[in-house]
Amino acid sequence: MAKTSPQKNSQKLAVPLFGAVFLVVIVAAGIGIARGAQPKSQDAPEAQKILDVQAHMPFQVLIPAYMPRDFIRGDVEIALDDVGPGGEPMIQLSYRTRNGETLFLKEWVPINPEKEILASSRPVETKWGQGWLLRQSESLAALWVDIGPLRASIYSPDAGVISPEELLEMAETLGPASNRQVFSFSLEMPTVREVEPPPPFEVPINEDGIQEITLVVTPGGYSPVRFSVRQGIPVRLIFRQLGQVGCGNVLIFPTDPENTTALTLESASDKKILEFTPSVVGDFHFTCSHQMYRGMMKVVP
Amino acid sequence: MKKKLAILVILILMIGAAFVITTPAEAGVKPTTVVYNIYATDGYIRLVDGTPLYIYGFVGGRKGEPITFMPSYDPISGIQPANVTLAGGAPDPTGGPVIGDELQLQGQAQFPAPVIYATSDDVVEIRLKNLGVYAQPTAPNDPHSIHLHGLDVDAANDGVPETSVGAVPANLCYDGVTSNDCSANGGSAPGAGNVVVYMFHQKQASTYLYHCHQEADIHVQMGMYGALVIYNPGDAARLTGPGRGQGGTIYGFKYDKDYIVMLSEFDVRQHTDEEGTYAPSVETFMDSGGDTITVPVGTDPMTWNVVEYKPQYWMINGLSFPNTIHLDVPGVFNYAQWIEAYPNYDALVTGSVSTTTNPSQQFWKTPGEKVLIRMINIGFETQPMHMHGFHFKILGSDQRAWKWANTITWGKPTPFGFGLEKNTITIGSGETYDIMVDFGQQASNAPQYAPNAADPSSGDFLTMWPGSTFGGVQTRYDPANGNAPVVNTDTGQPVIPDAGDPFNPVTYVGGPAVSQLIPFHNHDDYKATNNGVYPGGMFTMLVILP
Repeated sequence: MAKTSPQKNSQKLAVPLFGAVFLVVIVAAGIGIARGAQPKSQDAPEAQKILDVQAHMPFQVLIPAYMPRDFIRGDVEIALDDVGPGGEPMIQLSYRTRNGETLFLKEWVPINPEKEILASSRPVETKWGQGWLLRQSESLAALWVDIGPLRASIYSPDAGVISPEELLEMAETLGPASNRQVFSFSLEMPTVREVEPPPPFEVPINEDGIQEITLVVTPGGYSPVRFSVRQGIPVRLIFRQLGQVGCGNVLIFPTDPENTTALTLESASDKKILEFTPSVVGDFHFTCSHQMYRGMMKVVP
Repeated sequence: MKKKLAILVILILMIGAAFVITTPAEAGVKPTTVVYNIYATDGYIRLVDGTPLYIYGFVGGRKGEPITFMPSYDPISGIQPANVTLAGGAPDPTGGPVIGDELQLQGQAQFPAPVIYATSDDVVEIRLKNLGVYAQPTAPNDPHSIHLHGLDVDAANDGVPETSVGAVPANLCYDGVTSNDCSANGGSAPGAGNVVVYMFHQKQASTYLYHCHQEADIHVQMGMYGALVIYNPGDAARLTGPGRGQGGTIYGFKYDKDYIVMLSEFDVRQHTDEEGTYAPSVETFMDSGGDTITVPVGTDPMTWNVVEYKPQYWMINGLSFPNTIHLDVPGVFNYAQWIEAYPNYDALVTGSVSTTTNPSQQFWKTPGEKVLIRMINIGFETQPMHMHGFHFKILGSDQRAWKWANTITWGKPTPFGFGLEKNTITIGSGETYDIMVDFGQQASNAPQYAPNAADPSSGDFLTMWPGSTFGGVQTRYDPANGNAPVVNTDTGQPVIPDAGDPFNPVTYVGGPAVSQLIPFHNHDDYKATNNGVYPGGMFTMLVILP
């Protein structure tokens, strides 16, 4: 064991060494191939097509840096004759795969952004701020995002192929088609997170030391739908309706865990006033008589 | 050995070819986004007997395609204005007050609502704006919505309460009284002036409907509904919509053309209640002191109660008989004007006994036209619809094929004579049925389907043709005389109408006056009336062409 010639050692090592070198070469080649597929800065294949039509649009047209690999970016179809939901100039880009799967991207500058609404969508977080995500099982996935004044709608009828995360990644990597576009097949997907609801409306205290709030029920629900009051300070709640509200004329309102009051409006112009002093801290959910309309009062210390 | 290798290579090539040939996308037809601009508003129509009726409804159409709408009837002047065509299509809705081209659609609700059609590849965007009440400004300024009936929409995605959007609020101001421009009236109520974009993609080519789901008991009765058809990407009818003589496929069955038969009914009392003119029926009697007392009849309350529902008018595609078979009612109804505004709602089903446009159907029992009838019931009642002269094949219901009843085997559909066939179908509210009529069945008793130009006496079809010396069997109804059959004063027999040229089928297609008619009607026969007058109501005809 003590004496072994180096010569012999090297001979013994020869086979494993060869194997190791072979392995390194394979790995290196693998890395080389992999690096070839890595994102790198270059013109997006459709960039020139976009730049060619840019002059027709009153806003800078954006394209996603990320797009699932199967979509043939260079074959993008561009339509300039569509308009947005409010009649605004709009560009529509259609990307397709060889299998016929389609991805649509529409961009427009809404005149009244708060009045152009995607039905049945839910608010999600995006790096641009709040977005709106619509999913219909595997039939449709759509995401609306506002990038400054520009609104983008990215959607696909092949929701089984494109996940909401991929839609979000495309939305978050939108950028101008000019210069050298970085585009990639990024593998790290963002997480789709729903937006936290805004904080409840804080009811102010008037000069009489009373927290006075007008709660209006409209066909679209309560306004405000969530409000907060301070514990121990008297509250005057004025309840009225606006428009046809069906069962909304009856308000079932818990003032604390033990007591619930029902207020009924007898006509469209009727008003009902409820005065109470919140005694228990917590969230109290109020509803119409059929629980179709719902709202929440938060009592804070 | 070489032989074996060759066979192996050929096998591999064949398997490879099979993969190459199988392409999921229909050749040449690419998925696209189809946009419909739809507005909710109110208006007046006239019923078959001239009764003015206040309605809520939708107006608009496919973006960029010309639309023609029939303006609201004016119940005060008694004038039905001429149709209006918007060459550029329905205007694009604007968020906020009603402005620009939208103004001309206020108070112009169409009944039924425009047919929405697309393919199973398309993404459909419906942009809905609520123009509020206009034809009757004192009516409730309600929100409206579009419910896509039969589409598989994920219920979990109705949104959280803070942002839940389904209904489009009326353009009410915050004072609750005024509407639209609210700059001087306390601002707009929440959501007023919204443009709500409904997006969907439906993979199943079939028959659907859409309707307002706000206060559905009232708004559906008021007329807020229309047909929605999803075609297969290769269907010719995808370019025109239903009722335009184009063919397609459904559940694997090929048809030569398709029709909408959408059933509904009206109780005018609901409409007068919304209009603000509802007068409950009362009875008057003398009490013991000799004073006159007036009380509501039965449970009829002073405001209209929907559980009193008892309709007076029954309709197919918004028309009652005889308007369904293209007959004008002088001074009340002009079919040419109507069909221009409702091009997809022709309720008179025509078909040839001998000519199918689809040769692949020749293996079916007859070479006659296979006509798909897309039945929809959006009324509140259940209707037994009975077809004379035929047994139709039930291909499916509620957007699903009835595969156990009628199968496609080796590419061939179950022929007529096998599978599920009926002549009466009971269709409940909200149901749809896709039924196939084989017009060739009418020729199966006739060895020769078409008349022979060289020998006018040949061809048994002539025995059915009303202009033939055999007399046919047709009667014609006289709208000027309570739709009573027109009687020949010499013979006392029903008049055989002018029959066109028996050897020129084009002249047959003009309508009921020139061909053989077979009734398709509600077999609750009291519903085949117009406010109690027979014939009328839910009644149309099949026209047998040579």
